[in-house]
Amino acid sequence: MIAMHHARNHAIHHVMHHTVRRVVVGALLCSAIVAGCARVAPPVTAAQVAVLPWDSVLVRARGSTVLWRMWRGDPAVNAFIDTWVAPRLLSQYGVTLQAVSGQGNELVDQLSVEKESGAETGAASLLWINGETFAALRARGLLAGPWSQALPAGALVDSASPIISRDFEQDPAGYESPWGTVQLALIYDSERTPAPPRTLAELAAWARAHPGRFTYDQSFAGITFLKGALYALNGGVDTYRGGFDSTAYVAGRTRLFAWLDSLKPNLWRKGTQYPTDVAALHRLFANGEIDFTMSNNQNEAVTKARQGILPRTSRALVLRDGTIANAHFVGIPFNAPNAAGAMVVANFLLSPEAQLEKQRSTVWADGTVLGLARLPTEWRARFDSVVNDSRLVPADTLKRYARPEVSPQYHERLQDDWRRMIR
Amino acid sequence: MAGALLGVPIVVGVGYLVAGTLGIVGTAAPGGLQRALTDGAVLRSAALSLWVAFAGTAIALTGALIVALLFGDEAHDSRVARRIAALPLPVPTVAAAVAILLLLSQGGWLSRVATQVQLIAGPAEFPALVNDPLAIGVIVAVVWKELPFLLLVALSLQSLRGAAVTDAARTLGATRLQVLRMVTLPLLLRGMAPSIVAVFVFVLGSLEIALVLAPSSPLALPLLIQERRQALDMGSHGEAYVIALLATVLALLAAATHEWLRDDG
Amino acid sequence: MSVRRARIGRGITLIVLTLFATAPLLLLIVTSLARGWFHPQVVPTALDVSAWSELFTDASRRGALMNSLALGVATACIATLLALPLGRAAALGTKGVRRVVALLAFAAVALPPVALGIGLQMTVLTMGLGGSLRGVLLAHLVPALGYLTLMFLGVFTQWDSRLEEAAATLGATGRERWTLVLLPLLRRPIADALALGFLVSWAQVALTLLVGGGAVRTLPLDVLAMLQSGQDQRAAAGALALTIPALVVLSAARGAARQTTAVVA
Repeated sequence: MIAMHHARNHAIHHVMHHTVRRVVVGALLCSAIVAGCARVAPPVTAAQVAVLPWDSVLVRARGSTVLWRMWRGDPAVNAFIDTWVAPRLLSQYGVTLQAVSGQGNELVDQLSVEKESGAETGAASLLWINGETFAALRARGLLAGPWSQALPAGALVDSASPIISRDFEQDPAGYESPWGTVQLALIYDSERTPAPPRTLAELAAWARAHPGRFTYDQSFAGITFLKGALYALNGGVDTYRGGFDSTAYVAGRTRLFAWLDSLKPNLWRKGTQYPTDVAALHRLFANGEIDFTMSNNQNEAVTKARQGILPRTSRALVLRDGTIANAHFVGIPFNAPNAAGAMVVANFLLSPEAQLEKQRSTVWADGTVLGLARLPTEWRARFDSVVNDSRLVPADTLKRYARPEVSPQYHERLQDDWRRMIR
Repeated sequence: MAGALLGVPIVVGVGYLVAGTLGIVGTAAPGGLQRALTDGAVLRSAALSLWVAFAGTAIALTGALIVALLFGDEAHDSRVARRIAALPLPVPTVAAAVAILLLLSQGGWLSRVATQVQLIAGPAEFPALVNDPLAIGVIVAVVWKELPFLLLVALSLQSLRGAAVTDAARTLGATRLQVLRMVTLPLLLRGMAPSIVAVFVFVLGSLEIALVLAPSSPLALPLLIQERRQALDMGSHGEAYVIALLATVLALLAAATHEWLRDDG
Repeated sequence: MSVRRARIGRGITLIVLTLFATAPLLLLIVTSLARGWFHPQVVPTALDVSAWSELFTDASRRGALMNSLALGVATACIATLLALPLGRAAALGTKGVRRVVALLAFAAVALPPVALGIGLQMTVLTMGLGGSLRGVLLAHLVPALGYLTLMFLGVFTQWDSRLEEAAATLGATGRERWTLVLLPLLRRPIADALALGFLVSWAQVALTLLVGGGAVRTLPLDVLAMLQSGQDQRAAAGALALTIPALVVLSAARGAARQTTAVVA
């Protein structure tokens, strides 16, 4: 019996040997073919690239193209990406960057369809996302990762800041990498309004004294303003931390909407009409129809004035009840054709040079995500000089009144309920 | 056949709306049709869009008839009048909407003139003619764009029908006013009926005028559909499909009416 | 009584008509040249042609212009190529066939663009054409085919086929009948069709917005973006640039309108 066993083993071994040889030969042939037709093979995922040493990531990325779907609505941002970032990516890393339009629900739609139809490779390798878009993409499994932990420049990020380490209270968990921060600010004309209100209560009083000269928009900036008011009227942002609580939300909403109702008759058009988005709000402000506008980015008071969209005497202020600050991120879609290239781009965006340039008021004035304490001293000095503009809110004031975002469900519910009940 | 090419996209487009409504595609919850029909916001949007279409078409028609009847002859000033009235024809709808906004908004040109002659003190005192709940700005833009078109139709009808019938009526002793009321107008309106329906349907579905001039509350129907479609949650998507399907059914009904009128006339 | 009153009435109507028709256009022209023109200035203080030159020098403006031109020409050619045989086949067919084709064609025109747009949106995405120029072209072809089919239906309904028949009895082949008789006679309608097809695509907003998903930027969308961000000067220049090709093909468009009117009326 042992002999039979032995014979069987020998036979198996023999067969296996041949099989193994066949497999090895086959594998060699296959990889030869694959190397020849690289497009046939499924792309390496971001998670797989992330475990490689950074040098091999750079090697993989060299000579490749990255398609980045991002918000293209601001010519200043476009200029920064097209004329500053892209040439440096090409010369320093050999990566060709193509930035095209795409944000929010367009991304979710397109990627959902691609996933359903089983498309192995999409077109875009990098996406500009945050907040609810991130939540929607994650929930549907449309993002690749984790990968952001592999970026060397990640060590410089101010991970202690609740605004950067959490995206609308969600843990990026390596599925997205931060690249900028903004904070909501009211914008006013220092000539028309030399003594602007600085708290919500003062704002309500001011609106009573100047009826029809204040309003907010229906889009992202307006809802962010309302969220800030929601926190302020209900004991601060801590009431809403720790996930979505329907009871807390409804109670808070009641108080917020009561406040809005009392404000309504003093708003522009008596609160029966609201501008579609922040650009329409800017338009009313520039035309002198209202005395306040607002922006998710406090530096628009300077950048838009330079573009001639806002008056030169525009100034920014943050309400002392607190305004919301949040970060924006980049993510890699599940079917990205060039994960390595995307990671190189994301890493470059975190570099001190890029962060500094981005923060210049002549460029974009987008806040940095880097922890200045982690940078060498000369960098700290350069960053400090960039934010010193008397037309802007001083950095420490900004920080003192910054409030983080909470669960994206608050944003969605508030938007829906506002449309149903207030508009 | 090429006919399939015409039919296929329509079938596909409408088919997708139906599928979305029934919940086959996307995650629209069942009962979406019922909810859409009872949703106050949807009803208000439909009411606004219908109001704009009726008022705009009616005023444009009245204006076109007046110009056609007054300036339908071959006098020199009549020919000039017709040329002038046709000026808005080639202007694309979005350009027309921009022009009307620049003219009628509270920061617009008329408001500035009023401020200069001290009729008002500031932009807020100028009446809200755009982005207002009566959609006055939208109606003005509609009239501006559609009057020339209806005028063209009326003029071609006048030249086609000729003066034979009116002459006959006059020799029978009717006054000018009677001729107008009993002969000319009915004939014109009968002939123009399909064009009137066409204008009505076009105005009902137009997005570009609404984007520029319509109020935010109530939302014009095309804007409501767009807003629901672009929301991140799938429930709103389903609602968008339902409302779009309803709007489509209305338009198809109008198309059938148009065909029936054309045959009749 | 009335001659003097009638003349005064005519005069007033003419003045009102002229103001109504020209004021928005004049305002567009002035705004396109005015720098930093805010309330309450009635007359601009600074003028420049930057908004106009930017149409050609600024990359994003120029890109939008090129997209619009490409889409317009492609729509015109393809739609004409398809609508001509379709219209002819329908006109020569039975009354039932004529009715169905006319109904389909009018439906393509009457369908609210927003509804068609969101109906086609996911289809185009699934075909892998989401956010691409080709996808938007497919969408533009729907209303273009509708208008042009209606037009050719009208042309061929009024067609005098005796010339063809004479050529046939003289021994001309099918192809010869087409090249020697039909096409030369159809030169004007074909020109009208190309013009109308171009204009339908050129002025399109809703379909481009929805099917292109914001990634395909055309001139009308550019104008809207400029307006909504308060850049009135650029918006006005874009709006006028949008009008110019339409003006250029005005006579063709008018001819086409009369043809369509003949069908529609």
